[in-house]
Amino acid sequence: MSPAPDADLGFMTIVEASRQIATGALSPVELMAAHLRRIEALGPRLDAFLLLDADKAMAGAKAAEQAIAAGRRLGPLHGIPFGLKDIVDTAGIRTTCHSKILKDNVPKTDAVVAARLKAAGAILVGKLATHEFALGGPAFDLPWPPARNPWNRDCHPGGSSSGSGAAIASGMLPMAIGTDTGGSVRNPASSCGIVGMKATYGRVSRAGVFPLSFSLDHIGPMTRTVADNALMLQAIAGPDAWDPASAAVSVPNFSSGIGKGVKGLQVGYLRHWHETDLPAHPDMAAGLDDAVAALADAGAVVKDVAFAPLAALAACNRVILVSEAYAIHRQWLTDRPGDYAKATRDRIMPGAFIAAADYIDALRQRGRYREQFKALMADLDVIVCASSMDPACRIDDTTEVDRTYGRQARTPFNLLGAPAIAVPTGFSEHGMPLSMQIVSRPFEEALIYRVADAYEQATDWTARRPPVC
Amino acid sequence: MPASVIPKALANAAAVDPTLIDRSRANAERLVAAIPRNHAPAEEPAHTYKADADQ
Repeated sequence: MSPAPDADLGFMTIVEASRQIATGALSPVELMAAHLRRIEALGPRLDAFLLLDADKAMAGAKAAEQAIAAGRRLGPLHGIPFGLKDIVDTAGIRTTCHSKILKDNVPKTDAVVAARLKAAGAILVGKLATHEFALGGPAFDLPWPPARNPWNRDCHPGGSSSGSGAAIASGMLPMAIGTDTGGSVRNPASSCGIVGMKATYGRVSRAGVFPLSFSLDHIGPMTRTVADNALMLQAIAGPDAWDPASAAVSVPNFSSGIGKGVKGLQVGYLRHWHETDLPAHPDMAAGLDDAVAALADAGAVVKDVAFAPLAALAACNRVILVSEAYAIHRQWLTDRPGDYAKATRDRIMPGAFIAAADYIDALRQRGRYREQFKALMADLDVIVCASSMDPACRIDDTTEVDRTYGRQARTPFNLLGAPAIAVPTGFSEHGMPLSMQIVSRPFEEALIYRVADAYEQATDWTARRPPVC
Repeated sequence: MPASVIPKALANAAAVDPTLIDRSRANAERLVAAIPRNHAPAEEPAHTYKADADQ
C-alpha cells in the first residue's frame, strides 16, 4: 500500500511548524490542507475519527492565516490542527463518548480544555475514537468501529484514547487531547509510539469532559515529541472554577527544562514492577534497561528503588474506578444495558458489587500510598518504570486483549495523582512500539519534560514513521 | 446476598447477558480481596483532593 501524501507536513513537529508559521514560511492553510489530505487517505484504514469537520477546520486555518498576517499571532499553537477524544464536549458538535447511548448528544458549550486550545489559536479538526465511555476496550458491537494501530492495523492502538494515539502516530494530526483514569493517555501513547502526559491531578480542568471516575480522571496532551507536548500542556493547564478538583497552583513554563539534559539528576529505576510483579515481554524489559542506561550515559545518577506491589495498587485503583463509574452509569445500565458494548458492561458492572466500606478502604489505602510515594520521592527527581508490559496485540484477539489489559504500570499514578509521561523506547522484534514512563512529584511536569526530552534527543525513535504513513 | 439473587436494578442487564452478574460479582470480590485489610477504625480515607504545591 502506498504511503499517504504530504508526509513532510504531516510529521512536522509543532515546534517547527510554529516557527515557520511565525516567520511566514508556512501558512496555516497549507498545513491544514496537508493534514486533511492525509486524513482522507488514512482515515478509512485507521478509523481514528468519529467526526471530521473539514470545512470548519479550513475556515479556521484561513482565519488564523489572516490574523497572523495582521500581526495578531496568539502564540505557538496558533494555526496548529488538533483533535479531541470524543468524550470532550464541543459546542454544537456531536460528542458521543463512542456510544449508542449518546450518539445524538450535541453539547451547548465547549469543555474548558477545548476552549483553551481554541483560545491559543489551535484549530479543531474533528472528534476522535475512544473506548466506549473511556473504558470499554476495543469493541465491534458499537455504532462506530474501533481505531487501529498505524504500525500494524491488525493491532490494538491502546486505549481508551485510541483515536488520539492513532491520528498522531500516523501524521493525521500533530496533537490531540486524551483522558486518563487508569492509563488511557499513556496506553495509546505506548502502543502507538508517541508521547502522552498525564499531568498532576487538578492541573488540567476536567470541566466538560464526560467523567469515568471523578477522583481518578485526568486530561492529557498527546503529541509526537516531548517539546510539542510541553507546548500543548502550557495551553491547557491552570486553575478553573468549573472543576471542583482544579488545583489553585500557578502554571510554570513547562518547556523550561527542554534541552538542559539530565546531568546530576537523581533517577530511581522502579524495576520490580516489570521484572517480578508482572514480568514484562522481553523486548519491553530490554527497552527499559536500554533507556535507563541512556539516561545514565547522559549524566543522570540512577539507582534502583522499590514501591508497593503493583497488584495491590492496581486493585485499589480499580475498586475506586468501578465504584465511581457504576455510580455514573447506574441508571443507563438499569434502563438500557443492551445499548452498551459487552466489553463496557463487563468493566463497569463490578461496581455494582463493591460495598461502600470496601470503597472507603480503597480510599484509605490510597492515602497510605500517597505518603509512601512522598517518602520515596524525597531524594529523587524522577522515577523511570514500565508503562505497558507488552507490545500491542491483535485488536480482534479478545483473549489477548483481556490478558494484556491489566498488564501495565500506569494506574498507580492515577491513584497518586502524580504526573507521569509515556515516551517511546524503541520497537519490538515485530516492529511494534515500546515505551516507558517517567514520573515525578505532583506539579513537577517541567522536570519530567526535561528528562524525557534528554532521552528523546539521545535516540531517534520519534523520527521513525509507520510504514503506511 | 446469595450469588443466585439478581438485584432488581440489574434485571435488564442480566437479561441481556445471563452470566454478566456472576462474572461481575466475582470480579468485584477479586478486586476487593487484593486491597490491604489492616486499616484502623479511625483511619481517614483520602478524599478527592485539591492538590497544592507543597505535597
